[in-house]
Amino acid sequence: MLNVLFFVSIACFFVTAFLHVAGGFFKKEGLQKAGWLALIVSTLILSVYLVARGISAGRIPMSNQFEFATFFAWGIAVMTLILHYRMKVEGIAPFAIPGVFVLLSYAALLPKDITELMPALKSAWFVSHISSAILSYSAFAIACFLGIRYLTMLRRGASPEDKAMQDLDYLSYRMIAFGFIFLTLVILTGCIWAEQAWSTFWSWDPKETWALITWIIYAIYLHLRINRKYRGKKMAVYVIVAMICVIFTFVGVNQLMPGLHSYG
Amino acid sequence: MKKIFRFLRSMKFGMLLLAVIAALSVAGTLIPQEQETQAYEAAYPVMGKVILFLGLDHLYSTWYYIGLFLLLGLSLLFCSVLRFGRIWHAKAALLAGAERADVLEGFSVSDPAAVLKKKGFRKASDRWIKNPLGLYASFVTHTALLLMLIACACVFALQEKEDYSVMVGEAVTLPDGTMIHVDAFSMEDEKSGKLEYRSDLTAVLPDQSVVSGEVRVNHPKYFGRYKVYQQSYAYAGQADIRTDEHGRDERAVLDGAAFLTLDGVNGISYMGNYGTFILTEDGQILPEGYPDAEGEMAEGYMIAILENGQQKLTLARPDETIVVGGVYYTFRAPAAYPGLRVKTIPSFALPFLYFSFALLVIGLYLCFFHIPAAAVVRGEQIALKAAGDPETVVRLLLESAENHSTKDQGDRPE
Repeated sequence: MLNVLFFVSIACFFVTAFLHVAGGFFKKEGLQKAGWLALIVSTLILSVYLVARGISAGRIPMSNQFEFATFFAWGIAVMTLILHYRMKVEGIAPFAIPGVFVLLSYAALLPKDITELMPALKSAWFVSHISSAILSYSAFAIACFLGIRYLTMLRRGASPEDKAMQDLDYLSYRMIAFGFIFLTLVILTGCIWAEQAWSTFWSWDPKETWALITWIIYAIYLHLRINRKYRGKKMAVYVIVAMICVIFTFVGVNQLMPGLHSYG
Repeated sequence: MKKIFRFLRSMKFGMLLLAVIAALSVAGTLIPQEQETQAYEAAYPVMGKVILFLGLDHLYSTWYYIGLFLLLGLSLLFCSVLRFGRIWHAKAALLAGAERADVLEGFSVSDPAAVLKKKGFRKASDRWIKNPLGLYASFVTHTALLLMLIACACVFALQEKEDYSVMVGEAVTLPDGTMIHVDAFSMEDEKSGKLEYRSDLTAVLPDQSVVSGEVRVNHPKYFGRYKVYQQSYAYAGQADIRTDEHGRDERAVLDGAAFLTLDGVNGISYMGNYGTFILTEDGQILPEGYPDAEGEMAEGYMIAILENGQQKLTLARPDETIVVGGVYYTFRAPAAYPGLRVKTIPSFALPFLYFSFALLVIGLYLCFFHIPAAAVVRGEQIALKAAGDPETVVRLLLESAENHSTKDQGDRPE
């Protein structure tokens, strides 16, 4: 039953992505409105799935790659809704929702069994560490989608001086600032947790090292943005490249570099 | 000298260091660390020697990698902490900046003070200020990073760690005389039946006081100055040995290969492996899963009996008694025992490190979500100065104020 709900949510996100991409491409307001409605429905279904899985597992479902990927997709969907309805940001859904669909499709390929938490994961730090990672990754993903949107608009002839372009640029920076604080929290809570579980704050495990590399990449972005006043196209390209690093930290490290975080 | 100092405190230098640290760290994750020298030569026939020469096989402890962090510390010290004096004047500079700023173009409201108040500005004499704490954000963040580097260096340099495998019922004596006795070890939570590694310990401290407690994964415990972690577990073979049929058993706990003998000649060679084996018809003992092997499956210890100059490989099943050279050996099921990690760390190091963690989070919050701004009201207009990302912040503040005035007055301001 749980799996059915999961696949229903994937199907819903597929339809949502189609509506947004088609609505954006053909500039049909009706399709876009239907897309937003579909996004609300899809996110609700995914939320119900996550709650049901949590109840069934007796814990927050964030303990393995499948659960993290699903939560990550949910985080992007929720942030897209917040950006649209609360901050009135337009034009991000045609990029973000296909991203959510791809992420859920990746999750679908992973083992979905509910497994008992291994002793190292039974910690008070579990929720704060993983949920910070989800918030941080989701914010970086949204920043990346905003960067893609910026470049697309630039290609279509928009000027970097346009208010809409400056808004996109600024919002992308704010999302990275938000994500950066949470990535810092991921690393710090991870250190404290590692000291309790493995007796050492830092072991240069591939996941830890790549989290540090990601942190450095975004730290450089923030310095360039704030102190060097870098704006526009360069920074849009930067956030897209930085997102590749986030994806590698999330997927690549787990698949290619065995270490202490191999269960995640 | 001045030039060097200027370069050391420059953002360019800091960014360069971060980029080099990141690039080297990538290499550190791609090249397996702390392997045998031969492993690199075999895995990287061309680059193996270069990897070894550059120390990329133990990158994180090389002098140049550690040196990069030292330089980063210096950069943080010069770029931020030594410019501490600046922050005293930051507030005055921001207010003066607002005095000098032009009024916001195309923006006019009947009550600018009310707009500023609503946007979180506080009046300071005839000027308005918002988020003044944000002026110290960069200083707090960089100081936190510097403190964190120092605290990490202290922790890594001053902590001492030792691993002990202790059988249940046995004790280990630590350098200062503290004795830690393992009372019990279990791998299952009694109530839930779930996997849970737990050691019940009793410690006799140097002052002869006795402390008891349990350690579990994620739940280490202090015994005196030692922090004890449930680190691992292992299995040891067990055998009851007696010298005559009705004599008293002596329990031998076997945590590795051993030769059990009374006369030094006849006895049992214990190889240390317990598991499920295949006993073939021709008397061979093969490991479970051996291709095309057929025979009886049985659990036990693989042993060799040495008697009268003869050697026979066989399987000792649990509770089976084997008599060799007049000695009775009864093997029992293996027993689990804990691997404990015992760590000492100077008492100041952890609070120092956690303080730097907290300071970093506060600093980052101030940096990005507490952006300071100052404003001056000129008639129905506002002159605004914001730190950090001035143009956009000013524009966004103006925008919000526009919304405010639209709401208040029913139409857009001219």
